[in-house]
Amino acid sequence: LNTPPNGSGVKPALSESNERFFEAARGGKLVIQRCGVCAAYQFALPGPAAPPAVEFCRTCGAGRPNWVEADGTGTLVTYAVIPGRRRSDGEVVPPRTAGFVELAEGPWVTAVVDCDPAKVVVGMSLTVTFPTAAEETEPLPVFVPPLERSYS
Amino acid sequence: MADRRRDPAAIVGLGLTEMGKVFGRSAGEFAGEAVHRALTDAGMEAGELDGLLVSGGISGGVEIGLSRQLGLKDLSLLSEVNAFGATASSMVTYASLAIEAGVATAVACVWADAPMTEDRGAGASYSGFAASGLGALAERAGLGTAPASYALAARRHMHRYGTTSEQLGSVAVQTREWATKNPLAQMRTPISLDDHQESRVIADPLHLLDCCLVSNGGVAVIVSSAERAAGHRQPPIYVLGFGQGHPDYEMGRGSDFGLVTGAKRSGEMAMRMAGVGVADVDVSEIYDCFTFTTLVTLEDYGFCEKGEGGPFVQSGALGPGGAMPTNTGGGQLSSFYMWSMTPLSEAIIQARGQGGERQVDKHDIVLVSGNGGILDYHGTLVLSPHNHV
Repeated sequence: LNTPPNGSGVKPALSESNERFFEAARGGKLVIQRCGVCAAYQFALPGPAAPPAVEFCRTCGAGRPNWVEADGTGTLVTYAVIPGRRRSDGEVVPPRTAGFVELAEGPWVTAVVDCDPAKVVVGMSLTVTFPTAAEETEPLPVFVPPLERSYS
Repeated sequence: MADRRRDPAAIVGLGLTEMGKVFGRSAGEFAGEAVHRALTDAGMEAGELDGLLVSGGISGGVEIGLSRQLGLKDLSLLSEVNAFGATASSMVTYASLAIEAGVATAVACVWADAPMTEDRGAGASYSGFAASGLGALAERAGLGTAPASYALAARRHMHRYGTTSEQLGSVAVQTREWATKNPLAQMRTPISLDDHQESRVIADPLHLLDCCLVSNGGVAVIVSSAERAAGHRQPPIYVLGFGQGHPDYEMGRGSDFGLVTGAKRSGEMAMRMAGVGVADVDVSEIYDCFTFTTLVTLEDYGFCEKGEGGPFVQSGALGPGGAMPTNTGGGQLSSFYMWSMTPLSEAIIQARGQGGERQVDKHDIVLVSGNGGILDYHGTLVLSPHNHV
């Protein structure tokens, strides 16, 4: 099984545009963005070059989509299994399954999937959890199959 | 949409530096040397250039100041270009457009990078990019690397269309077979499908042998007007068509991520401009950062039906003697990783008929792809030793 990615040492840069996400995450809730004009749901695009949050509605262009609580359920779109390794500082990083989860509202969230790797399949139903993170890092969404909430 | 152009510009010079694990030189030095080598190849003097387009990889240091280092005076075109892995085709496109508009007559396009140091291996060279805000979620989930992101794309294709790891492996095996015939290739020992399957997992479903190399070095090409092209030392290679396709995936319900790439739009545009179809293509030089990229690009270009890329590559079409000779120098997987200059440089060599042991007999139409980001940016060129189809 995956272990919570504590101690990854990566602290996301907080900004006015995305602090709502991490505030909600500390309270165990997943929030995504929804346009106040056209009501389209959206979420941050993955990747180093991506903006810190969606600044303009990707459907109608209106500024600053609102943050709204998501249902917290979704299905697995695709995933990768990253083998465990020993880092140069000696710390052992366990194997991890992670991928894109399509939320009930439509957007994809990049997240760890905490499930027996032998049971991970594309299309499986998942529910969000926020395992307690080390103090120095922000909480990270971890999706689990229903009834397998190992950290809740 | 553009029709076939009357007087396409031509590539008249190609310069490749020593590349691979070449240490102690900056990307800027590689870039300068690559331009000098391209000039020598073309039989031109630096003073004959009136345009320079520059681009670097991740190490930085390739900037428009290169014109001063090279002593290029009174340029009428000078700019830095970045479309990540689609940069080379973009530079050749912009050079062609400037030449055809009469703005310039001879433009050097150079790309160089020096990400590797003696104490830092290939993987480490491409790790540790700072992500910010919600973009950091991928990194924190363990997906902050190129292999992990391409693994997500490949898995989606595998699930939707039944593509297998063995089919991806067949791309690696056939590409390596070409590399054994290329003296410039970094990896020239033949590999088997078993070697691929037994190579360590980097980000399941991708194994080590699904991943490209990392190289230091530089490559330059010189694009010239059609009128002047014939007077150079090398046979001119005409830029018959170009196209780009940047999908901006929705990353939500209904997304084509991992299924259809910008190659579809880009390839259609470039081939229509050139007046050719996939049946006319003699050689394909495909950006192959991962085996999956080769497979999905060929599929999107239309060499097989959507979803049939797995059986297509498994048929042996890509390797020496195959129906669609692809990545004939060994690609990024086995020869060298000069981003989009890898496929472009081999395309020029094949189109000229200078491929030696690996030369493909019929090389009238050569298709070149570039791919950047996580299948985010795509560029295509159609090259030919003839100035019309």
